Amino acid sequence: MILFFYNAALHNSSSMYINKLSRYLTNEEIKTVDIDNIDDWNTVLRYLEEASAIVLVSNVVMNSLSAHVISFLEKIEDAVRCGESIPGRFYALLYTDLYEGEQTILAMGILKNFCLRANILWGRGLGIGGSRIDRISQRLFFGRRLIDLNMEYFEISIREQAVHIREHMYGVEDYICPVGVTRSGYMRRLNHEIRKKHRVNVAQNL
Amino acid sequence: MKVFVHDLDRDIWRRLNLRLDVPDIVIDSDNGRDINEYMCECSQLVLISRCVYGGFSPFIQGVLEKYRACFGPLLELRHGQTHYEVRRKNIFGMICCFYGEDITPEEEEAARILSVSSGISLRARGVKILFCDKIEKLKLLKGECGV
Repeated sequence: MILFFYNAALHNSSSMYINKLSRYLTNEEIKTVDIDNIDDWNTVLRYLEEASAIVLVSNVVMNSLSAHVISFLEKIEDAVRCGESIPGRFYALLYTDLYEGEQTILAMGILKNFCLRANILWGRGLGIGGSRIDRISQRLFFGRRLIDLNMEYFEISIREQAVHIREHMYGVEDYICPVGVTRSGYMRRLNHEIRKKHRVNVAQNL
Repeated sequence: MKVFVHDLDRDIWRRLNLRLDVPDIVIDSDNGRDINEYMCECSQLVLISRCVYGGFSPFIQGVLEKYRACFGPLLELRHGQTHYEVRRKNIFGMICCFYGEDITPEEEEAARILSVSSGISLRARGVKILFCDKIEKLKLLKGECGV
């Protein structure tokens, strides 16, 4: 069984990344747990005991994991200290609105330190930058549709991550940023879209 | 004006006996103040946090997240990387003080890099990082902050 933890309140991209990973894990039983809405902690502990792989899908805020996620990890560590055993490997898929996937490195380091503390085997991390590219992908950029270039930039990495999860393998972290759009191009287009949306909102509220 | 954000128990904070000036602000889990109101006039931001896996404790991280929410969604280039645009004009120094009895070298390294990165994200003038294995050693802050 593969257990996904995600943080829905902060960003709904988590569900999209889980769906994309799940497509490559067809023969596996998949359980998902929303970190912000845990009703029954005992069920989560049972899942942790049974899972062959644990995958955390979360966004990165201020170079780190969000406060909710850190609290949740501390709870898991407490459970391990109380005798809980977690046999599955721990994988992470972290994403950020910022262009560089490397901006998730610090959060990945925090997760590795957590694994050491909680005596959980670390698997592999994938850091995705430019997660808001979908907002600008329908636009033309120098006459090219960005959608043709964008969708693949994380598809291959997600597939690779899924293989590691399915085979319970250890791997070296991968950090990716959008392909086919430069850093300044991403920033400029995104800022343009935000300003435009803001102007529309102002006009609608007049 | 100095802004202190800490996750210490009330008793421990009192025992530190820091001599704060009138405009200085203390933000903790008891008073639930909002950091956004004070950052425009802040000359020094002091974060006192338990070191959790080489990062800030959930309370301190929560305060920083709330502050991040008021940056605005626009991006800008800084130090060759994209960052959120900070509209605040004032410049402040930042002190990050981590405490914890069994901080591993990996956690210390992660906390140091995270502090500097947070300083860049918040557009701080500079970042000073302290580690205390015992809470009593937090009194070192007195010298660092001039309180």
